[in-house]
Amino acid sequence: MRAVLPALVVLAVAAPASAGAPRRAGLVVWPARTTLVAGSSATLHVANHTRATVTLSVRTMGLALDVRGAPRLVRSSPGTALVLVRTRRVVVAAGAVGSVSLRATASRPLAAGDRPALVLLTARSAGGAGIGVQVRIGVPVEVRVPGAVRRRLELGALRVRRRMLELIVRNRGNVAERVGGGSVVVEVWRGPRRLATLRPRPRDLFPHAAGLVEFRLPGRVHGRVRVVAHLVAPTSGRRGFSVVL
Amino acid sequence: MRHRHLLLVPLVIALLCASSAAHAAGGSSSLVIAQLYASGGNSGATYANDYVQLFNRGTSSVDLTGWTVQYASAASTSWSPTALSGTIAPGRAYLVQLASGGTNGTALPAADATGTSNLAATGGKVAVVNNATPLACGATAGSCAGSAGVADFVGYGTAADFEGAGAAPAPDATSAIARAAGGCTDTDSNTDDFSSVAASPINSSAAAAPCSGGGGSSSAFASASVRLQIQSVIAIALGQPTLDFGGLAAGATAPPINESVTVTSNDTAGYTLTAHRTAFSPRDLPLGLSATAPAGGSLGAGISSTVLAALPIAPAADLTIGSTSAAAPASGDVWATKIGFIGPLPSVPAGQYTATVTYTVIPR
Repeated sequence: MRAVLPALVVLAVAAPASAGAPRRAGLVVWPARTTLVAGSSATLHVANHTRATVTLSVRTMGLALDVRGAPRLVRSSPGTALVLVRTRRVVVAAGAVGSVSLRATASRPLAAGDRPALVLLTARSAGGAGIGVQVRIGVPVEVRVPGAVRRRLELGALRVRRRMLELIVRNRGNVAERVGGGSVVVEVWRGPRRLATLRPRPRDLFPHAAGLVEFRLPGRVHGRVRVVAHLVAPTSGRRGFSVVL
Repeated sequence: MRHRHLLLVPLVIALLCASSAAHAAGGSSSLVIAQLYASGGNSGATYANDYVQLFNRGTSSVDLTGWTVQYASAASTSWSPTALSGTIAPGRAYLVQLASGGTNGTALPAADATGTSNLAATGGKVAVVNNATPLACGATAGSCAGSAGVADFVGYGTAADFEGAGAAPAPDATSAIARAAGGCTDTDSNTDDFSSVAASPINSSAAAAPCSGGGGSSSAFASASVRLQIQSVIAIALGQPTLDFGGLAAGATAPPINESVTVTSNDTAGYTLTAHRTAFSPRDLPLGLSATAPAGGSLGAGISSTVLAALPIAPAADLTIGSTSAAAPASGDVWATKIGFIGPLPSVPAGQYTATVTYTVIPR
């Protein structure tokens, strides 16, 4: 393996980072997330806006979401084994842009739908005296196996936590969904009067997964109310709840 | 657009159509073909699949039960239908994913319906039909537009049939053809209503963009719609690459060292910032972290700005410093962290002790 490594080293081309790269400090990666159809490929770009050459190691990992949608790095998830990283090590000179090629394999027949994975880029510490500090950037990758797409969200229970409404939403489809204001809204009613219409903090929901979608309550709303959750897209539906705020 | 400088870079610009809606024809359907892409998967393709994007330019929802999108090649009268389902609310899009001609290009947004029609890049005909019966028209100009059940019809490129005076232009590997005014214009003339734009598919989850005054209304002004596709970007920068506590005696209490971590992300769902460390060599020392969240950020469980929380040693799970649930400001979110020792230094052999702290950022 050691002998192979030098062949995998890609010295970033001497394109200045200003040529097409976002102007940010430090390390910049784009796209920050991507969807790959099985059998297709994509390129991640890395701009080095530090003052030193950066060596990046690249590997595939698993990606999980906690109940509130926060990403968590895990060893493996359904799409991990399907993502091939062609460039394991990238050296990006100061002010330059490097690239990382990804490919989604399609070696065996799989059921249609999305499978999450994560490509992890680690900037090696320069070393030296003291405690070295390094950074990693995780790029979520959805591997999409072609076939019939099923998009279906379902509303579950609602609970109140501090000044937040937490609504359970289940993804019964086979593709990942971004659940935001275009997907679900809740209305807070007291009698015939609508007190508020709330849009959620956007979050992702993987296929066949459930999670909490959070709505921040306005401070003025207290007491017993009726909350009506409306599913707008990709499927429609509604559910009512009686809660005390 | 708070991130203009950040976001203007990796973009595909598509601009379309200055159009006049003054010629809206009577009898035009509220459900129209808004965009069409025919090079999916081909060499140099932006997207991996062909697609047809529908749009409801009317003022009421359309139930698609029993409806189909049908395709026939340029001169053919043999049509292949793709079944549709669900409803389209006013101002909403509906994405129909079709065949792929190869392995190039990125995936489409999640489609609302899928089919196997392989659209020819040079020319063809697409119809939206309110039933599932394959059409039998298309050999001559104007033959399909009046056929029973046809809600909208587009002939492009070398198509023998089209609405109005001529066919729409042919799309290519990176371009789709799109209906003017974001799908609102329908003058029943394919050559007037469609132009070439950078392919930019959207599905039913995209925000509604109703047509002003309802579909098909006349107006005395011209309008131009501008569409950008902005890529997601994430950036992380450290205040300093190494933290040096200098010479310390066993039993000493060293003040923590500041390490600022600046994160920039245009993901509207935000990101999560975590940390872990390696063990000190030659013997481990108890390292911890405290942090202050930026505006709009929230600290992870067990993290505070005053008390150091133990930094886990890999491969243990990372310590969550905090997260955000919105795009970061253009200047980035600055997480003011402190790295220090939890309590006095233990009695360990003299020597140089080194470790590595790793900060990890992942979009939500």
